[in-house]
Amino acid sequence: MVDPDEALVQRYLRGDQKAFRTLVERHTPAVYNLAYRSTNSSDDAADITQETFRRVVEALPSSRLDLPFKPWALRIALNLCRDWAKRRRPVSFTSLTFDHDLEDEDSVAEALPDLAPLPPDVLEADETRQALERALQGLSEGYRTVITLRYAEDLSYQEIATTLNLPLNTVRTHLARAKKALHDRLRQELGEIS
Amino acid sequence: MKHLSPATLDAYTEGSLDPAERLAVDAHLGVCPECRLAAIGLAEIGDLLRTHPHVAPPASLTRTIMAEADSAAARRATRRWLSMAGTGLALALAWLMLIILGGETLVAAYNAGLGDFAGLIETQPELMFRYPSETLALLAEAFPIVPLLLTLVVLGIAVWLMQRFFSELPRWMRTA
Repeated sequence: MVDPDEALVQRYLRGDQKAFRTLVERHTPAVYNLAYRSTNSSDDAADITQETFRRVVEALPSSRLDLPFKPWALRIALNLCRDWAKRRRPVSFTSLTFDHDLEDEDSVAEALPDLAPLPPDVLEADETRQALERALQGLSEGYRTVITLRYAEDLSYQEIATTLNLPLNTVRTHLARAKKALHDRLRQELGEIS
Repeated sequence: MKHLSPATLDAYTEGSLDPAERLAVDAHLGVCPECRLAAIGLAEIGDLLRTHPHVAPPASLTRTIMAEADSAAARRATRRWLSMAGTGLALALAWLMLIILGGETLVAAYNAGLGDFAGLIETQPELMFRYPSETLALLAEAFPIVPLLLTLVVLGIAVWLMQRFFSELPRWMRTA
C-alpha cells in the first residue's frame, strides 16, 4: 500500500528520514519537470529542485500540516523559478502574474476560440512533438506553468488553484486561454514545417 | 446563437464539469457546430499535451537532495539540543535562585515578626475585622517587601524558561 504524502510528512517530523526519502523520490520528477519547463536548462532545473527540497526541510517543522504536500512543494518551486527568471532577465522581466498574460495574449477574450482540429496525420508525427516543444517554450511563463501543472504533473484544477493561489474559475479560464495560445503557436510551427 | 465560453468548453473536454453543467453543454454542442469544433480542438491539444514526454531528472539528483537533507537534519538536531541544554541550565539556575531567595524571604519575614502576627491573627481573628487598617499596617511592616519582589521576579523568569524549554522539545515529544 502506498503511504499518502501527509502520513510521510508526519513520520518525517517524528525523525524518520526514510519517509522523507520517499517524498523526495516521489516528487523530484514533478518539481524537476516544472523547473525544466520554466528554465529550459537541466542544470538550473536541478539547482531549483535541490533548493526546493532544502526549503521544504526548513519549512516543514513549522508549516501547517493540513495543506497537501505536492501543491505546496510545487508552489515553492514556482517561486524559485520566478526568482530565477528575475535574475536571468533583470531588465525585460515582467512579473509572472496572470494579469500580464491576459493583457499580452488576450486575443481569445471570452469569444469562441478558433480551434480548427489539426490534421490527423500531424498528431502522430515526430515533427509535431518537436513543434509542440517549441510552441510550449514560446508561451508566456504563466501559460506554460498552468499547462505543465495540468498535463505534465497531472494536477486537478483544484490542486492547480491551490498551487497558484488562484480561484478555481480563474484557473479554468487560464487553461483554456493557454491552450488556445498553444494551438495558435503550434499551427504556426507546423505551417513553417510544411 | 450565443456560444459557450472557452473555459466551459475546456472544462467539458477535461471532464471537470458537474453532471448538470455537462448535460447543458452536451445539449448545446448538439446544435452548435462552431462550439463542437472548438471542443474537438481543445480536446486534441489536451491529448497531445498528455503524450508529451516528461523531462526526467538526473539519476543522481535524489542522492544529492538526500545528502543535503541528512546534513541539514543533523545540523538542526545539534542546534536544538544545544539550545535545549542552554535553556535547561538557565532553568535549573533560576529554580536554585528561587529556592534560596524564597527561603531568605521566609526567614526575613519570620525575623520581622510575621510569625507573631500570624499567631495573633490565629488566636484572635476578630482583631482583623475590628481594626482592619491597623492590621494591614502591621502586616506591611512585618513583610519583607524587597526579598518578596525579587522572589516574584525570579519566579516569572523560571516560568518563562520552562515554557521555552517545552516549546523547544521535538514536535513528537510535545504531542506524545
